[in-house]
Amino acid sequence: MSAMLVLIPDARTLALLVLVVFTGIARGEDPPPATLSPYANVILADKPVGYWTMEEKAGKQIQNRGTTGAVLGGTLMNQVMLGQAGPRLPDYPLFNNENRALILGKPAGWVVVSDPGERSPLDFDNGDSITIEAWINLQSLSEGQQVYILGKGRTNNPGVASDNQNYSLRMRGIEGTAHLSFLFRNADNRPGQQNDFHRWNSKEGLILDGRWHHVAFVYRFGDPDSAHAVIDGTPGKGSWEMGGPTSKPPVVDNDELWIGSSMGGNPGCSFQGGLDEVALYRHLVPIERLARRYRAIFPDPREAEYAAAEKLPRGTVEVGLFESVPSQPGMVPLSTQPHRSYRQKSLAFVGVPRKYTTTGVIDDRSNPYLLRARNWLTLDAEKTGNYSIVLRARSAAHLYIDGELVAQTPLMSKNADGHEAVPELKTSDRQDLRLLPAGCQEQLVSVKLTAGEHLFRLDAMIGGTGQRAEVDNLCVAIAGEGGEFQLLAADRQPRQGMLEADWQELRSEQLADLARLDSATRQGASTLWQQYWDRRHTAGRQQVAMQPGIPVPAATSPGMIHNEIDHFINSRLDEAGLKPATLVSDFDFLRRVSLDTVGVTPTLGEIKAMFADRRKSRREHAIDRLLDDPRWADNWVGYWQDVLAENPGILKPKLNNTGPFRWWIYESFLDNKAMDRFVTELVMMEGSTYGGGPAGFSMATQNDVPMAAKAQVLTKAFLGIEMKCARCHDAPFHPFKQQELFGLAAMLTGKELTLPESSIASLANGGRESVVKVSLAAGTTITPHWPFPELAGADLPASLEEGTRGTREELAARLTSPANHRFAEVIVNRLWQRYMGIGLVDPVDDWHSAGNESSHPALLQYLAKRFIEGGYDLKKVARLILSSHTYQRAVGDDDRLLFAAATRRRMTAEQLVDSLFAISGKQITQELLTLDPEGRRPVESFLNLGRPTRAWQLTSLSNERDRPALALPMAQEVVEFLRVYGWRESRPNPLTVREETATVLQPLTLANGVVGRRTVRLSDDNALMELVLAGLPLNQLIEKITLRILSRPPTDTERKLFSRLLSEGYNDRIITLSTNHSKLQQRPRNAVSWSNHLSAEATTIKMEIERQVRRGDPPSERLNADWRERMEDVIWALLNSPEFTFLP
Amino acid sequence: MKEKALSRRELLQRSGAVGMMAAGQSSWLPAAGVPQGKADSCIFIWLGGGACHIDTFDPKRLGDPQQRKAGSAYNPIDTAIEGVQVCEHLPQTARILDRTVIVRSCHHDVIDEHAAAVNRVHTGRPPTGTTTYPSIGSVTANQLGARNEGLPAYVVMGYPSASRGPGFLGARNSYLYLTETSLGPAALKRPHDVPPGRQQRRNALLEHLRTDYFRRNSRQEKVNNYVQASVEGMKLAGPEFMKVFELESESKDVRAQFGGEFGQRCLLARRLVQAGVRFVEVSFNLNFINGTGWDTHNEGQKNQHMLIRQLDQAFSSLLVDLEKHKRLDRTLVVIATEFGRPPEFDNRGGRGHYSKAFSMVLAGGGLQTGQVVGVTDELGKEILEDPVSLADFHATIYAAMGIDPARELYDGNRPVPITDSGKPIERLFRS
Repeated sequence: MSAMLVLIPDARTLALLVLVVFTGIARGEDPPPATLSPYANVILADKPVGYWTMEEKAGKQIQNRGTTGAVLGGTLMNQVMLGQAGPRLPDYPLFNNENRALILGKPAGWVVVSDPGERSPLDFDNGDSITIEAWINLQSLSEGQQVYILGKGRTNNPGVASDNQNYSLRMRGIEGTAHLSFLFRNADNRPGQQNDFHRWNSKEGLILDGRWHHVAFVYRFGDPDSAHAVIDGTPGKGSWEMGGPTSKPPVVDNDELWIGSSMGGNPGCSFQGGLDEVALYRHLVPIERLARRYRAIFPDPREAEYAAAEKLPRGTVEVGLFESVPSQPGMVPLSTQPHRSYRQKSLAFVGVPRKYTTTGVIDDRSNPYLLRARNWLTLDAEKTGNYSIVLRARSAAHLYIDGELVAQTPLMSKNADGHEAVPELKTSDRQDLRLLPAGCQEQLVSVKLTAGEHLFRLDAMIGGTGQRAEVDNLCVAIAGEGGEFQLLAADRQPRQGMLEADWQELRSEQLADLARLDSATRQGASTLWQQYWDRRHTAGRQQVAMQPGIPVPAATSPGMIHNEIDHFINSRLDEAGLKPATLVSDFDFLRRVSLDTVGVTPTLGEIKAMFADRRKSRREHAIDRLLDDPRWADNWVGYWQDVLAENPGILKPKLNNTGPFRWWIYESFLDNKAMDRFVTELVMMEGSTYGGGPAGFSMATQNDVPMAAKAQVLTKAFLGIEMKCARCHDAPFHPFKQQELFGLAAMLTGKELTLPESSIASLANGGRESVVKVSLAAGTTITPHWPFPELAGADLPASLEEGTRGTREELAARLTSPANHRFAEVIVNRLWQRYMGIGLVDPVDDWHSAGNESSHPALLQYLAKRFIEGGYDLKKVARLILSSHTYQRAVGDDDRLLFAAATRRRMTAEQLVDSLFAISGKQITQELLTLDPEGRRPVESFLNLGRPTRAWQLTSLSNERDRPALALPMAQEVVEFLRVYGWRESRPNPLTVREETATVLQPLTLANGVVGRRTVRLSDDNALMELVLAGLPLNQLIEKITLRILSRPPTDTERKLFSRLLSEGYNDRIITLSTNHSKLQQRPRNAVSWSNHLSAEATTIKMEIERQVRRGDPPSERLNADWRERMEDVIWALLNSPEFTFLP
Repeated sequence: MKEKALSRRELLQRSGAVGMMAAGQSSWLPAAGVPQGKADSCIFIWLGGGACHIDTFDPKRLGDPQQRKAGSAYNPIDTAIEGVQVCEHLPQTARILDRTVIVRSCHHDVIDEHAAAVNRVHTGRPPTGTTTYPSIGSVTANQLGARNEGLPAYVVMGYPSASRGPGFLGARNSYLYLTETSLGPAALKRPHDVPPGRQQRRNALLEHLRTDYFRRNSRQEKVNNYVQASVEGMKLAGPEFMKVFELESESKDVRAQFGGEFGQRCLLARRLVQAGVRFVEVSFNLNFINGTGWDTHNEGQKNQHMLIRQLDQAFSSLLVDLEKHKRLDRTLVVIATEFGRPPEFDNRGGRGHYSKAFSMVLAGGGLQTGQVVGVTDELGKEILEDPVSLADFHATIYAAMGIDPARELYDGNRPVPITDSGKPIERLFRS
């Protein structure tokens, strides 16, 4: 371990190291005498012309110790550090204890060696032999990247031909390892001719593991077969590319030789890390001699590993996530600190914790990053023996036991273009392993383990260039002789098997753990941000306190008043001579309020809890329970997806695609984020673009001015200002001009905007006189400006200044300022509309259309004031509305605008689907919402939206290609169900109130479609089976089923109807099965992915799945079939009754 | 804001996917020079992936994928239209080509992304950020409704997608869809485990629950409309319309004549049109025949001729069959695709995307068939005569169906013409 070099992760560390060096000099320490290591003598014996030992401790020059002497001395440029540790004893026995090396840092550092002139020792022509060698400790190299060890010419210096590469030795990243790459340009040097370059790459490469490596290359110009490489003492071959092998002479001139970089110091071709003992010869040093240059003795890896793991706690798996690492696991030294560490129970992963910004919004990790998991496992004395171990990973992963590599998987293969074959199902003869998921690799090994403690380490590379950085199905399982595979768990943790059912159990448990971790991380990361909001809310309260109060009117309907809202509403009813409707029953109330808060109908447990509460205020308590329920967040996501036009595409960009910022919306409502903070984070568009952060909102693909689209969304959502028409011309039916919208767009952009031609309405059509006015010309420049001074005036309150560094911050502040009453009014009006079916101002997102005045202006102001006083807490206003008599009234036919009675509302598409699946307890779908489950395509064109658990998580399945192989048959059924009930599969534009027209397809889809049929079907996984199988008297079963579906006891008619149908054979309904066959069956493997979707087999597989889905879930064999069908028919009738679909 | 009672007729008009309005031809007074056709139905065959025009309806000099020599992959053959040739794998179509019009000069500017091009050809215009345009099927459904009461106006055989959808016209102008002829239309088809007797039991239970519900709750229009839609839906799912999907009732010979799954879809399309459905989109998405379907990159090219032969068999059978049933004059059959393909071959013998010139086909529909519109250069890359924009192509279809292509639809209060100044191809209409 001691021999490992300090890593240089970034420029900051580098600066720190420089500081240390200079401090040393300032103290006046003398440089030690320049003693050469034994290694130098070996080199000198071969008479190099140039030999740069890098022993200097300070200064700007390095010495040449080769035969040519001082004339080839080097000058340091930019980020170069001298005096750093090179290969040393004891790991490298040819060196001494003091050997020093250069470190080249970011963005680029290099050494310039001047060419002494014509036919100099640095010039090589046909017939000349060359040997180049060096010790390297390269720190980073990405796929396809080529960094210079040394090169003559191609410096971009003035006065020399471009591309004038006489020779160069570089390291090239090929499939995760660093290969030697020799490059020269032939003397033709025709401009733009790529084939005048000749490049030779070594077949073998080395792993960037933080250690020093020796590389050497020999070649005689004119003889392409003479190229050979030596890497760490092993000779190796390679092959030519670009112009291929050639006997043409190289380009020769008087340009400089550079060590460590090229092309003017371009960071992309600059060496990052340690360089030492660079030597250049004008003859072929024999390969055997070059091979002997490398000698390294490393300490027993067990010791290093144990030393590093000493402090690891027992009984838990310690997981570390390391960012900005090379594309190969096993190269991050154990001593490096991870960017994130946490603990879990086993070496099995369905995901990792999210990363968050300092405002607590979802952020991205580097791609790739390294996941390292370590744990101790203790084996009792009697357990010494042979073990089978299986490692499963998507890309490269290494498993070490006690420091020794025991299993590994290779890098994921690339170029998944659709033409591959559907992978064969690897059927190992082991029946105790779940099927290998698509895109997963595995290695099965046998190891001998003795009694005692063993240290396991799993290093897995997550993601990679052009691949998505996802973690799933990553695991290590172990089986003793004759035993079954178990997921490798830390000591004292419960053992889990490795069957499908086990994995599903692990999945739900780990996802819950991760959600808890994420919640804590969000709160922890955003403390300062939260404090800023607390200050703002205090200031907002003070501001409101200074304004005149809003008088609450008296009303004359005793017993019809729960809170202030009812005063406002009832006084208007008094004026109109109308009487408020009576309260709904407790059953109806609970169903209504459950759907309005958590988006699903109440469970039997929730109904029981409500009625077990004997207090008079039990409705209040029910409201409190529901407001605290995390499902509150689920019920809001679909709403804001519509309003904010969240529109992720899982396959390649289409019109107005955004990132999936649904996850940020979800977390915001889970955390009950203040609404002004929510809007500010949205406007700031920070964090992850494709991983669910609000940066996803900044995207609008195929849109000529995305920020104009965003400005239109924001004004409609939060100011009730519809600027859709202003996108291309001045709005004919609204007082808004294109200039104003683009002023906002410029605020979002942070600079002047130029209006593109494509954003101007063409008026050439039709020839009739247009109502539309275009007042701006293409090419007009629009400066950032806030166009609504009447809403939030010229001066922002002092409390907001903290947040106003640029125009985007200013826009956020003006939108959410407590001085901007419109914002608070729009939000409380949205809430009112959601709960009452019609807004106090309606439509809620267009306050300026003709005749759109508030029906209850004072109430609106009152609620807005309460909202600001409550720190923009949505739940506080929600509690006020839900507790009001007005909300709890029965549905009636009276004038809806005065709220004498409640309005009949239909469940939203999401509420229907979620309630159906909540009743049946079945999974919405097992399919991942991605067309590339293997994760081999980049996130920019292939999203993975995961396995949906609530309806809002679904998305357009993007099968415009019409290919059966791209179908997701189970998810498609749900998407279609949602669609016919008004949900939008794609949301290119904002929308608040969906089309609610009753269509024939709605009841039909519920009655005959797969989603409805799955709820009705009494298969073994239907939660209703629990009731059916419980030994209840028939009347109680009828009661519970009706309660579960309609949230109320059956009516007399229903009781009679159902018991007449179900009593026959009721006592004999249950069939006792002799065999226990309830274990989850292994499903047919669906290995179809983008990589193979063009194969005939992919189509066949998907069409078969489609047919299976249409056939429906298999009925339970635990029920008499005839009775089961009658029971199913009762469930069917309850679900298809209008009472299920419409709120009470 | 106020809900008002809907008459049954209005309800049917609003009822969705299944806009079941039984309307006569909408008639408009054609502006000077705008022709008006007599077709009352349309079958829109979709070759998803981008069918290669020079390998089908616009043959050019022979190329060679091995040598990467640009050109057609197959030999040309003569057709029923004098002097007009098509590829050798369209022999049956060639014999009756006089019933068709090949439009060889279609063009647009999207090639990089299928979904975008599919959208372009279905909506006939480039997208804009502020509205979602309806598909040609939805516009037709919106303008004409179904030909017979109680039927859907628009049926898709293929996967549901936004490009096929109603856009701002809303759910009532959407489609009914099925992905396989044997599976029948999703949601409409009674589940296989619910025989008629069981369905009757279900309906009886439901009827009781509904009555009971309305006894306890006032009969509000919103609920009433939903229940009415449900009753109508059950009728739609009933035996009368479902019989249309029973291809078994056709003779063995006829079924064999049409060929495989795509042929059966064409046969079903004829039955649907016959029953009174206004617009049927039939997707030819059987990509397992050659791997890639019509998107013949790489190895996909190798077996493209099998696709073409299936198209030949099904398309020619459809025309002959429509003629036999005396419906060809009133049924416009369209072969459409998102773009064509270039004459050059890629390094695995396939072809890329090309949209500067490609072919689509019109047949029957009372048009002046037996002609070819447009001429392309020697490799099918440039249009030399009579370019037909997508707006013009759509306008031609609309005009053939008696729909004014300049008529304005409304997205809220924003007027949107059916086509962006599309001009019907005049010489296809009898004067």
